[in-house]
Amino acid sequence: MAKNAAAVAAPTAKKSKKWVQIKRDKWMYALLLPGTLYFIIFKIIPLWGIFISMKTYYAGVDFMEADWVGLSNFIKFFSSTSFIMLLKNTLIISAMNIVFFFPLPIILALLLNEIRLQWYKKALQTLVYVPHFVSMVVIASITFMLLKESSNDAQSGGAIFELVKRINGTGESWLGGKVAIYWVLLFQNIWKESGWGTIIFLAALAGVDVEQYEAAIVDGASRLQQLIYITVPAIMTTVVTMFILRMGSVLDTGYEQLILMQNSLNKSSTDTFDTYVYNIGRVDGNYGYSTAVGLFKSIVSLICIQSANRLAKHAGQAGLF
Amino acid sequence: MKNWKRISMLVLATGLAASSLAGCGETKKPIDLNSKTPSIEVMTSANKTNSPGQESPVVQAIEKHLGEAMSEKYGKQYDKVILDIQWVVSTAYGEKVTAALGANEYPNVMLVTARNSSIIQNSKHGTFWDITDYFQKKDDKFKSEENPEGYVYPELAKANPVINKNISVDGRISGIYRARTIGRQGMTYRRDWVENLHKKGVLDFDEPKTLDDLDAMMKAFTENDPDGNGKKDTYGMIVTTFLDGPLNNLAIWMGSPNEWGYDEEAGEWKPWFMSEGYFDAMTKMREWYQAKYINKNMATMDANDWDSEFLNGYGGIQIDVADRARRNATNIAEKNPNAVVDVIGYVTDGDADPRVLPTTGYMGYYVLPHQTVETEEELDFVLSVLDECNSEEVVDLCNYGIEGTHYTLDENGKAKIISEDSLTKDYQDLNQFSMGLAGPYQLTTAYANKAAEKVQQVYDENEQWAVMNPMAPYTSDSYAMSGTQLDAIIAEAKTNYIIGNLDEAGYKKAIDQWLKMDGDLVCQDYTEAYENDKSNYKDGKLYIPETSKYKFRF
Repeated sequence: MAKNAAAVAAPTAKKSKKWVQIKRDKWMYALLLPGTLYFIIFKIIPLWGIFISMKTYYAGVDFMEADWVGLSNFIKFFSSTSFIMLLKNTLIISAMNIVFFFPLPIILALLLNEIRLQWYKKALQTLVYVPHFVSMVVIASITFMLLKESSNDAQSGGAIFELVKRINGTGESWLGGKVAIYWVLLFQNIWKESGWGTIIFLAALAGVDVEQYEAAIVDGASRLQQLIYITVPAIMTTVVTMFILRMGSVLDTGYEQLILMQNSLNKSSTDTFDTYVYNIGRVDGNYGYSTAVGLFKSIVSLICIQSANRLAKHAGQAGLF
Repeated sequence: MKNWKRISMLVLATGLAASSLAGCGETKKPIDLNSKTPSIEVMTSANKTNSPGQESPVVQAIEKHLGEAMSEKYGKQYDKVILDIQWVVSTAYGEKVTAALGANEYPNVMLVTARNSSIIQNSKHGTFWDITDYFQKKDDKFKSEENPEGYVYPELAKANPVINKNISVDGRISGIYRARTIGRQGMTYRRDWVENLHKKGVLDFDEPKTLDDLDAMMKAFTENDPDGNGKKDTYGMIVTTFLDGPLNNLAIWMGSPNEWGYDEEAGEWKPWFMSEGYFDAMTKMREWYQAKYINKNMATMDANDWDSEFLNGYGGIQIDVADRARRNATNIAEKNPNAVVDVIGYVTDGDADPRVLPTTGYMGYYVLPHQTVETEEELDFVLSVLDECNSEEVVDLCNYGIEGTHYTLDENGKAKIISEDSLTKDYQDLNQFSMGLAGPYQLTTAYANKAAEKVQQVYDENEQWAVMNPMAPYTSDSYAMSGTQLDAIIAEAKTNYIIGNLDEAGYKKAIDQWLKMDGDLVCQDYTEAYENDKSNYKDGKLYIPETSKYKFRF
């Protein structure tokens, strides 16, 4: 590489130093190209679409012909009845995920890390990844089979439904329950993603200096003390980074899972910003209004990620940027 | 070696870049009228996953028939007209239409299932052909014995004007609808119970005609042991969480408007649940509920249990779609061979004229985008093909397949379907493509039972008494945005009023809440839509027909 660069650089000495550097690292820049193009094409250029949120623009109608309405789409959204409901549902689902789901991959990673039998650890690791590759549609169908209610006394419902019915005597509607559905959604997430989420923490754990453990053992530290004083602080940066990133998606509930699990009984507690944007924008074609809702979501995400970052720095952690 | 690595890197990098740049622009070829086999691309909804394509003998038969018909009409040789049907699974259909609109890439003929704001905006902006004046278009050269008026599109000329009004935008029609039964609603009941009670002298009729009859029936079904087993183990009407089935029908029978009515005193349009008739119906159901003529778990009973409650002989009346009678008549025979299931379309309020809650009469409609149907000539050809698709021959092919292969005729001339998967897959879902707007058609299957025959009679009779929804052609953006919440408020209030948790003042409170939570905007949207529709003006003045005027309580 160096020989090449010198050979190229010599005859073009007049050109600026920067150009020489670029020439020298041209393959590196070539590798950078797809990523840059990706961001320009899919993230930067579409930004002009924000203007859609200030028009009454429907799919298929000429964009230039659509009326400018200023912020009326936003005002309509904030003053609509749906806003409070959507905010409430989104926050409930998101908060449950942060409180109950977020710590699980960390705990699981720590547990896996403590296993000393290598083959057993590897096998377990692979097994917990598997659900991640199962499609949400399949998971929804499995859930229906396990939780469905019996249509009459002669027939039996799903296995878990029947079990609960035997224990407490009354059949509880999990799929139609306004509150119960939240736990179903949470459990689906945990089952599907907590194994996959361990990857990044296991990588962080692999980077912990072994000498620290050796020194601790010499000092007579127990397994638990090693965990608390060496392992946990070592991965704290990763945990904080993941948490900040998670805060950036506080209003992201995704719509695939929710739409699959939605029915007329639980709709008022499972409609979130994401499903709302999907229904109004993708299905009904009201692009102007749904873009306004989506933009609102992005702004809140930006605020959340910024404040989480500030908080982390304030608490003495490295932060993200 | 190193060079190879570099080259492969470069190839990878440029490859990635190129693939991210490559669009997916598929250009649509126009309809080739000079070809002997012109092809028309149709996008429609499918219920099955393996809907038939060019390999199906039924599709081939339709294409051949269309070719012959077009050859005759245009005096030009067409071997066949290829129907290139793009099947889209019905659950994702709305999304697919929006995607087509957003990308401005259309088939020649596209089914539109949801009438949302984007469809209405597109109709106003002329994305689709305005075909209002083509339905009744006449030309002397087409005059013949079967077509004495000389309609250019004789089958399209049979389209129901009421349904055409329902799919119109500003009084202009941009589509050909897929027809559905208008008078589909009815009351299914245990005829044998009524007859038993008639014999006992409790009731004085075999078939209820008026609201008073229904009242007496509800009482007798609960208190006078209609099944004669000596136990008081039956009740009148089965009501489930789908309260709107029974309640909306009863409301129309008792004089409520259909969805929207005009309050002359207040000078504004109001939703039906604020009307006098609707409130009367709720009060009637409240009385029935208190007297235990209705199942006590009506607020929680799943609509899936509706039929089993009826089949087990617990409750004797269901008010919903009339076809329930056909299904239940078949299923009840296994449990109780003596049971007789019958159906009526309505009961009247005293001597008043019958009133029936109709459906909208259509299930989506086919639009012809300007983008892909470019010229007047192409439009004429596509309309002729769609016209021919409504002919008896093509509709029969779509519904039953080919005679001799897919079905046979019994001695009464009824179709007997050979139900083998390998055969039905040749034409399944073609009935989803079919419009059937020139119906009723001759060929039908034999009635499964006596109730099925009665169901057909109910359909036919209901149609003339249908109370149409004056706002059916319009939509409300506010409703699209807040509908879930708004519907929940009213649904809860209706149930609670009927089971006695709310009194009239409480119900009024719920309505006020509905109005406050954007319900007033919904009213406003519809009022504006009505006023903006040029076809609602007569002599320059806004015209509200007498049949849309009602008395309102709230």
